[in-house]
Amino acid sequence: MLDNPQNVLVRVDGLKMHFPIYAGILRRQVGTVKAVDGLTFEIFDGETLGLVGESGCGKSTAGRAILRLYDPTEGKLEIEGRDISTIKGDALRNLRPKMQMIFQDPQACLNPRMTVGSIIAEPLDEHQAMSKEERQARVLELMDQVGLNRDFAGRYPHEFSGGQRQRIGIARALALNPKFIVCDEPIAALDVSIQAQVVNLLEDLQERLGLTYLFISHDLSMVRHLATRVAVMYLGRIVELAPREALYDRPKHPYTEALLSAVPNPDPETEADRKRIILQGDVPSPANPPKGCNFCTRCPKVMDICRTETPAFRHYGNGHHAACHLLEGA
Amino acid sequence: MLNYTIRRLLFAIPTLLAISFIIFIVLDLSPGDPTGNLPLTIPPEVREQIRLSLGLGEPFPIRYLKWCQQFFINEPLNMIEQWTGWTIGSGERLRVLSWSTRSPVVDLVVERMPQTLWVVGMSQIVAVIIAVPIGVISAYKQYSIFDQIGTFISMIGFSVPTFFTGLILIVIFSVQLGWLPSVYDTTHRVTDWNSFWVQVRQMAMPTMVLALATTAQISRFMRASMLDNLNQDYVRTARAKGLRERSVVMIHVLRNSMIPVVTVIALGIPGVFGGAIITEQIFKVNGLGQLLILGIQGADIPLVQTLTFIFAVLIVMFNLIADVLYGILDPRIRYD
Amino acid sequence: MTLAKMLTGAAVLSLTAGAAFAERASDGQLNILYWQAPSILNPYLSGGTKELEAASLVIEPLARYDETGTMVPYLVDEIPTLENGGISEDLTTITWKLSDGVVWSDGTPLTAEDVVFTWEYCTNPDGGCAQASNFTDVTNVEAVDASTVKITFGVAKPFPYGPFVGGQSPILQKAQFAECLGAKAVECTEQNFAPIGTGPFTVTEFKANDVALFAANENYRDPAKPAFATVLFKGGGDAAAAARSVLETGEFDYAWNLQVEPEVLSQMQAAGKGEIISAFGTSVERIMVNQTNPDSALGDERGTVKHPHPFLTDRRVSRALSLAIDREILVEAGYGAAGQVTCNVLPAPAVYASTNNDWCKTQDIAAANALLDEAGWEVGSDGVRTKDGMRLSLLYQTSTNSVRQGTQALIKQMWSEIGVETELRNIDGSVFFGGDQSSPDTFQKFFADVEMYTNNFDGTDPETYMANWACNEIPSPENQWLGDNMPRHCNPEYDALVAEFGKTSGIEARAAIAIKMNDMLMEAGVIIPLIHRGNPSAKSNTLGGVKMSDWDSELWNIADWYRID
Ligand SMILES: Nc1ncnc2c1ncn2[C@@H]1O[C@H](COP(=O)(O)OP(=O)(O)O)[C@@H](O)[C@H]1O
Ligand SMILES: [Mg+2]
Repeated sequence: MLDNPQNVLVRVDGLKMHFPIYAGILRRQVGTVKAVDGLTFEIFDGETLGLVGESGCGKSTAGRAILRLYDPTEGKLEIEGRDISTIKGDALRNLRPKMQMIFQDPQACLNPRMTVGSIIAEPLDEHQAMSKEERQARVLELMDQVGLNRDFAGRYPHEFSGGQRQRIGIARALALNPKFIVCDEPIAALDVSIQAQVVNLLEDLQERLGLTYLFISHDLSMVRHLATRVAVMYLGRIVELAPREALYDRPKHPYTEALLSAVPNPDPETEADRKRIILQGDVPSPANPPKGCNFCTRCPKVMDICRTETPAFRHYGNGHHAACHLLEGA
Repeated sequence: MLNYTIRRLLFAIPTLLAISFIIFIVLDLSPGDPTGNLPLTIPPEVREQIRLSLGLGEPFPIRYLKWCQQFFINEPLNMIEQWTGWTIGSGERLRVLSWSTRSPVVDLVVERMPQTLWVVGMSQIVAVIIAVPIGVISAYKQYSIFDQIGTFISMIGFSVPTFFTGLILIVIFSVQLGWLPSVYDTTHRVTDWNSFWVQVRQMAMPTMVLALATTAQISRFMRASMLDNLNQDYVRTARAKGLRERSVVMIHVLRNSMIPVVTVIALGIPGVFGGAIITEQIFKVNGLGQLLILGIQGADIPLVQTLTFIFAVLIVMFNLIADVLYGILDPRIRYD
Repeated sequence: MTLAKMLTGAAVLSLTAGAAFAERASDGQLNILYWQAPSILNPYLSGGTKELEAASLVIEPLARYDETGTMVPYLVDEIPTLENGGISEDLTTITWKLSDGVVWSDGTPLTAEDVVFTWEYCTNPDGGCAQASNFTDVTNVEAVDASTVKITFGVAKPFPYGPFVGGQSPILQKAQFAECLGAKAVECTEQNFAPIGTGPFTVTEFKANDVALFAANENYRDPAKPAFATVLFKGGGDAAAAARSVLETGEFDYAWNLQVEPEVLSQMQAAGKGEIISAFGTSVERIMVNQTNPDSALGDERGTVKHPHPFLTDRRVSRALSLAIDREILVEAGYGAAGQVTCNVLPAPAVYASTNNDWCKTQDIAAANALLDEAGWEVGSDGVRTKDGMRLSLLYQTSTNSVRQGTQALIKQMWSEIGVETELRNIDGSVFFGGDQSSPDTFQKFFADVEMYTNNFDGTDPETYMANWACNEIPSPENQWLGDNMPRHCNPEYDALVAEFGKTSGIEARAAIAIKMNDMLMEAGVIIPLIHRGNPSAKSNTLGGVKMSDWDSELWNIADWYRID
């Protein structure tokens, strides 16, 4: 794969997403939450990029900002070579069919007062001139595709189970034939037995429809199963990004090491010598990140420089990127 | 849903009977003499005669049963007769008679219903029409100037009593400018455009006074409900679908936000029938609220009993309606 | 045009203006506002003033009282008297002769049977008639012939004008109410809401407790009246709003019973759309002067005739107190158009009003001081008069009410100018007038030197009222303090007049006695009258012919009202 040059579908350059904090009677801005603080990476056509990190590190914010569900504070976004970081209104709406999102909570993200049929059909109304029959046919086709019983088109979301709801969410996302889908922890809210079904469905669809995924998850083993490349986030920044094997076998960043040490290894031999690295302390607040390297407060290999200078995100060969002062000298 | 409704209706019957009995006891125990408002020059013997002629000489249970018979049997039969033109039985039935007017209470209610519905009902409609957009915009542009002004006006609507706003409006529009009448002409009939305009003018002030108070309430409610929904994930989904912002707000957010607001409005409707005692008094609108207050002042027990009971029925009914509406509007709720 | 012609022209003009344009129903609509709305148009079933006055547009008694309290024949040609033989020598019967040609608004003639029926209607024991007291002592009412009614009393009635005179006992149409006797009365909603009458208007629409619409009666006996084609009789709101709608917005022509603070009314009147008018009945705000000693040291005997008051029995003292008061100021401060100065406890009706006490109308401090000097009261070093070591100091009580407290303060000030010291006290109305035997603060016990309140009498005949000050009316522990003679005035001469009053017939003769009694009380100084209180109403400047009467319905002469352009 690596030897043939790949097409970049999405390019993210220095993406920052800061949320203002208001307080007081007059509701003046007193600070910002730096939910995403400078992301740079590319997503190749047809691949699945895994985005992992602890809860609260800014994964969802990153996903939403990339899809322009937020107006990014800073940085550049490109999809298919087109700069979308500042487009607005109709221009942005017309891009929607290309890029879609599957949300974490399948219950909350479906309008409770709309039937499944109309939830799926709504984007078709908006973006495609279709007759009623065509639209109906398309809705049923989509339901088939995601494995939902056609007869349920007239039902409301609350009448479905969690897994089925996520299928509705997927069908809805697929309705406009997108190229790029951000899957924001699509299986986190589901029972383990159902998780596999949904993941298989996603893989299946990717194969059939040639989709590109940004797969957000806090579950490293699920990402290992799905992703071609993996990016690890910590407190609004990517600390390491590498092809799957490289990342899981030879993590470069201490944070990645710590994360991986917590994952049980399927291989009983290696599992036996697995040593858990327990991180000390809590994740700092994104409203008040530490100076220097974001990870310096918890890093087991912390050095003086880490507390003053922010490490650069560099390429260390074979598509392996990381941001750590430890690597700088080597 | 049908079963549920029927079951609720059946349960309402004993509830309402109990309510009617309690109202009767309370009214019977409360001090108040139907001859109390008569001039002092009327001697006590004559007063006693009047009291006896009103049936006050009879013991309490008999009076209650008589009222029940008059209200639950005679009045409905009478109504059926009037609608259909049939004569059931002898047609000679004693109806619930008001003590101060010596006329059937139900006729008084029917006579006053149109004014109540026109003025108080219209004020609710106006209030909803004004309040919903204000609530929507305030929530959508939370903490904007518009929102702050809306909050301020709601504060005024909440805190300034209607007798004050009413008086201010009269002083401005009737006394100073002379644009609007300060007295509602209840004999006015709408027959053409001109008389319709007269009706609009005489309704303007009482309607606005009432609408201000209600607007304040509903717009706050609407705003809160909108804020709740604006942060929901399905709204983000709608945006991700590439819907126009208008559709996102109007179709997704607004419709979901309306569910609790609609039930609040439904629960407020019995209050519409109850009228707006003070506003009716200020503008001399002969609504049901005014009727009730006159009944209380004059210790007109049959009138107060019947009116209060009708209000109780309405409250029970609209509670049911609100519940059913909720079920209809929100597919997540199922009754069985 | 000659001068004579011009003069006749002017005369005709003023005549037409005064007597309305000589055409019925030519003045459009009259708008009347009663802030308490009538609940029924049959005064026999209500007894309230508002119902009675609304009904007075439609149904009429045989005779009414005009604004001076004089009887005016309405459905008869003359008032029966002893002289014209209408009243029997033994004072037990009165015979009324109906005018010829009076018809009901439905065109049928008014007959004696209608009058008899009205009596039967109101005296039926199951009917609960609110006006039954007008028929007290009546043993029979009979139709001598179609137009003659004879009323028989069980006792001698020197004043036999209770039944069928005044707004409280109008004549009902027998044909209409025949089915409504006794217990059936309450079921006759249609009749009670739209009685057929002989009056200037007929009911076209009635909404209980809200509004009544009337139209000119086509069969009214005076073909030129009423001037108004329709009357809108609206209810609701409060007194101030009612005043506003006549005086400020001009939406209404007439509003009733405006018990509003005088300065508010005068402010509204400044808008120039209308004016406040008042009808004066018999209400008098007065100071009662205690003739007995209220000293608590006397124990059970305090306030009884056994212990005369140490100084208030001296006429010179109470006359000085009266002279020191500037009544004009009291009227201005507390009553406005609703009050006028009076020097009589019986100020009305006009025939009964004495003019012999008018000395009190103007304040005369010098004369008051002279009287006290003469009585031996000397001004002490602190400005308070003393005599034999006794200070001229008064305890002055009344009920709690802002106007009364204002009056008290003014009078205290006026009395201080003649060296009288006053201690003020006010008692909650429900206690003061409550008649609770155990309370020492009732107006009957009168444990004070002077006390102030208003009293009046119903109707035009003062016989019972004037009997209040007979010796046997003195409240005392023996009669559980029941009795109306608060000042404890007792004079055998006065009692003799009370007895004579009960036997004298004829208005003039009765008036002479009443005036004598009033003057006796004034001379004795047991009552210091202050203010003759009236009921204020508002009338538009465009409304003419209004003559408010307190003795009958305020609207008694509505047939004569007209529009001034
Ligand atoms: N709309 C917002 N306003 C303010 N802070 C936000 C907002 N959305 C997210 N955050 C904050 O940004 C940080 C990252 O949130 P999120 O992207 O949801 O994390 P993750 O998806 O990785 O769990 C959190 O601290 C969260 O509180
Ligand atoms: Mg998340």
